[in-house]
Amino acid sequence: MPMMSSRRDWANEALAFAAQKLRRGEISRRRFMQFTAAFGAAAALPIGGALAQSGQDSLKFLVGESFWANWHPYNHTAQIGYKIQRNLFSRLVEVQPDMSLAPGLAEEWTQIDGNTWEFKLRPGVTFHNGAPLTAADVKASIELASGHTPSDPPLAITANWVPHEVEIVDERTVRLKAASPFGPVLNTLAYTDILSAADIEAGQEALEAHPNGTGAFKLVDDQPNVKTLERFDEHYRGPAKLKTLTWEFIQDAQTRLSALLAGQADVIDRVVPDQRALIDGNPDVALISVTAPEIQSVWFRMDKEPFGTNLDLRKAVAWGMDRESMAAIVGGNTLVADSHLATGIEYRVAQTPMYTFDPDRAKAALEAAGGGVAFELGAPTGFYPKAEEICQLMQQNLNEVGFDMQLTLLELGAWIDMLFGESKPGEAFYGGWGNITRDPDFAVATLLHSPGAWTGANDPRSDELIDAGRVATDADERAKVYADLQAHLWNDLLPSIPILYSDLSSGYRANVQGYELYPTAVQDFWPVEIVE
Amino acid sequence: MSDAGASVGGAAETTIGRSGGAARFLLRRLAQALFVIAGVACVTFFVLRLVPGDPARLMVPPGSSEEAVEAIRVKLGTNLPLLEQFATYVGGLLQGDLGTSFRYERPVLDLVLSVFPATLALGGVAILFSVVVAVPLGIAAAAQPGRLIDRFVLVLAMIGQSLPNFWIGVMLVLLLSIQLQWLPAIGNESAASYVLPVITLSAVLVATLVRTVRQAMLEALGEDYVRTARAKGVPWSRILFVHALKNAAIPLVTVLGLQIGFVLSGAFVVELIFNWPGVGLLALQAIATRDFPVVQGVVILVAAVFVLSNLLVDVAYAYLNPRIRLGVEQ
Repeated sequence: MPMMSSRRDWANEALAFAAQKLRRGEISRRRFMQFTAAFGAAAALPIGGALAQSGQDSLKFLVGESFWANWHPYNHTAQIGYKIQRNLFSRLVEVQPDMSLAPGLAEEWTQIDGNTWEFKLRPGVTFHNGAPLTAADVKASIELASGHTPSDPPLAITANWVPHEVEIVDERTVRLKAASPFGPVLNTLAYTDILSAADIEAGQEALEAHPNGTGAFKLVDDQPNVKTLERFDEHYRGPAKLKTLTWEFIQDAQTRLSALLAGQADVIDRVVPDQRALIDGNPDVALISVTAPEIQSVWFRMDKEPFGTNLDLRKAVAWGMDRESMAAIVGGNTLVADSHLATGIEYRVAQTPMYTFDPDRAKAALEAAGGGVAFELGAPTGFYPKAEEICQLMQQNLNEVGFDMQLTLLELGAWIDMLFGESKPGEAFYGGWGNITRDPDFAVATLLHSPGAWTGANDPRSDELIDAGRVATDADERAKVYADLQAHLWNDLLPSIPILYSDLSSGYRANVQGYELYPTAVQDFWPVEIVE
Repeated sequence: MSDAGASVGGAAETTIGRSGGAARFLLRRLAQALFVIAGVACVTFFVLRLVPGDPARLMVPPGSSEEAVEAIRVKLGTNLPLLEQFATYVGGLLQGDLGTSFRYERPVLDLVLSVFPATLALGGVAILFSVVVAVPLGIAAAAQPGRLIDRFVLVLAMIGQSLPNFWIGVMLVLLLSIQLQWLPAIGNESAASYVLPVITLSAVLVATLVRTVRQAMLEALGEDYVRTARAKGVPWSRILFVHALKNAAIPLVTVLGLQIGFVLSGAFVVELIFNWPGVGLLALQAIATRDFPVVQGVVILVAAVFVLSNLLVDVAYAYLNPRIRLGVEQ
C-alpha cells in the first residue's frame, strides 16, 4: 500500500510540476502533452489495493466455499450458510470464539426441569425490516426448526435440531418444552437462527429468497458469487464498525492468498498449510489459526467384510499407521487425534493407548486377525488439505505390515457417491467430520448411531450410550456417559481411526482489528474494524 | 499459395456476394456448424452422466436418507430414464432452452450470457494484443534474418511456447501485484485488471503468431514479385507492409482462427488464477457441483464460438486472397 500511494503521489506531483512549467512558458504544449500522457496514465492507473480498500469501513472477505445454500436457515447444511447467517440473524444464545455460550437474544435462561427451559428475551430488538422481535417470532422459529411446524418437503436440518415446542409465557418470556430431556439444547440453540413469524407464515420460498434477521448486517446485494452486506444500525449490540461487508467466493486457495497479499482483500479463509510461510513473512498481513473441532479419520465399512466383524484387523490398521507423520504433513495447529471427540468438544477425554506407529504390534494384530487382507480405501482430493499425501503414506505403512491396500483418489462428488452409493463399493474411506457445535451428540450420532450411521455401524452399546448422552441434562451425568462412549469407541469398537484434528487458518490485512477465528463454522464481523 | 493460384488460372475473381457459390458455401458450412454443435451437445450430455457423482447427493446433507436424495432427483429430473432426460434436453434445445441450473435455479442461458461478455472481452483483448505484438516482431525478424532482432524474437517465441500459462500467471501476480503492487491480482473491475490476464493468456499465442509471421514473411520476401518490386525501386517499407504482409496474412489468419479455441480453453485456467468472472470460472464451479445443465450450456457456447471462428477464417481467406473462391472445389 505505501508503495502504491507513493507512486500515485509521485505521478500527481510530476503532473502539477509540468502544468506549472507550461504556465510559465518554460515548456511547449506538445511537451506538456507528452508529460500528461505518461504521468497521467500512471496516476490514473487503478491498482490492486486501491480497488479493494474503498474505505476504512468497508471490508472484503474471500471464502473458499461456494454460496450454494439458500437463505432459509433450516433448509441447508452448507457451512458457508452458517458462517454468513451469523452476521444476518441472531440466536437466543451465542457461541463465543472459545466455544463457550453467552446471552444473545435471550438475556437469561433457566432450566425448569429435565424437559423444560425458560428464556427471557432482550427488549428493543428489531428485524431488518423494522418489525420488533416478539416471543411469537421465537416460538415460530424454534417450532419450524424442530419440525413441529409441518414443512413439505421436510427441512434439511430438523433431524439434528431442538425437538421442543414453545409456550409463550408473556411478550418477553418463552418456555421450551420437549417430550423427553434433550442434553444438547443450549449448544443447538446457539445455531438456531430466529426468524420473523410473519416471514415463516409467508412460506418456505420467501424464507429461501431473502434473509430478514436481527443480525448486525443486512443483505443488500445477492449475486451468485458475491454477497454484499450493510451495517444494520438498529442491531441490539449497537451498530457494527464496518459499514459494508462483502463476501466473495474464490475457489482457488492461491488466488485468495494473492488477493490478500496484493491488498485486494481484507480477510481470507481456508489458508492452506503451504501458504502459512508466505503470510508469516509479510508484515502487511497476519495469520490466525486454531485447531478446529474437525476429525480426519479412516472410516471402516462396519456393515461389510473384512473390517466389519474383525476388531483385530481394525486394530492392525490403527497400529500400522504413522499418524504423527500424517499430522506433520498438514502442519500448523494440526494435532494427532486421541479420541473420537475432537478438541473443543465438550466431555472430550484423551484415550489410551495412543496407537503410536508400531509395525510389530500391527503385524501381531494382523496375525491374530487371520492375516493380511486386500481392501480399497476411497479418499477425496482437493478438499481436505494434504489428504492425498496422507493416504499415500497410509498405503505405504499398511502395505509394509502385510495389508494390500488399494488407494482410490476421487474428486469430491465422486467420493460422496462412493461413500453413500447403494452398491457400497470400497471397504474404508478417508474423510472428515467438522462439528458446528461443541456438543458431543452432534459429533457422534450421525457417524455412528444406527440405523443410518455413515460407517454402517450397528452396535447396541454405542447406540445406548449415544441415546443416554442425548437425554442427559446433568453435566456430570453427560461427562460419565461420554467418557464411557469414548473408551468404548477407542478400545472395543474402533469403527473409525481418528488421525488428526484439523488446522483452521485465516489470513487478514494488518490493519484489520477485532477479527477472531471461531473453531466452528462461524464468522462474526460485528466487532471488526479497519484502522490506519 | 502459388500452386493454388495456378489452379484457378489466376482468374482473380472474388466471389463473395458475386455468385451463388459463396452463398451455398456459407449455407453448407453453417449446416455443418449446426451439426457439429448438435454432436457436441449430445456427447457432452452422455459423458457428463457417465462421470461418477450424483448431483442430488451433493445437494443434500451427507448421509441423508435415500428418500431425501430421491426427492431432489425428482426435482432435478435426474430420476428419469436417461433417454427420457435426453429427449427433454433435446426438446429444450430446439426451443432455445438450455435448461435450468441445478445450483442457481436460474435459466442456463441467462447464467452463461451473463458471464460470457467477460470471457469475450478477455479473449478479444488477448487476441488483439497478440496480433499487435506478434506481427511487428515477426516482420522485424523476417526483415533482418539472422540478426540480433531475429534471434531475440526466436528466443522470445521459444520462451512463450515453453512456459505454461498458469506458471506465467502466478509469477506475474507475485511480481506485479504482490511485490510491486502495481496491478490488481484478481477481478475485472478496471482496465488495469486486464493487464495480467491478457499477458498470461497471450504468451503462447504471441509466440505462435510471431513464428508464423516470421516464416510467412521470409517466404514472401523470397518471391519473384518482391525482387521485381525492389528492382523497380519500391520503398522497402512498402514492400514489407503492403506486398509481403498481405501474402503472409493468410497463414496468420489460419493460425489465428485455430488459436481462438486455444484462447477459450486457456481462459478457463486464466479465469481461475485471476478470478475472472467468465464462462471458464462458471464451468469449473459447475463441474465440481455436477451442475449438468450449466456445463452443457458452456460447452455448447464454446463449441459454437470455435466453429464460427473457423467459418470466419474461411471467409477471411477469400477476402485476403481473391484467387481463393468460396464454394469451388479446387
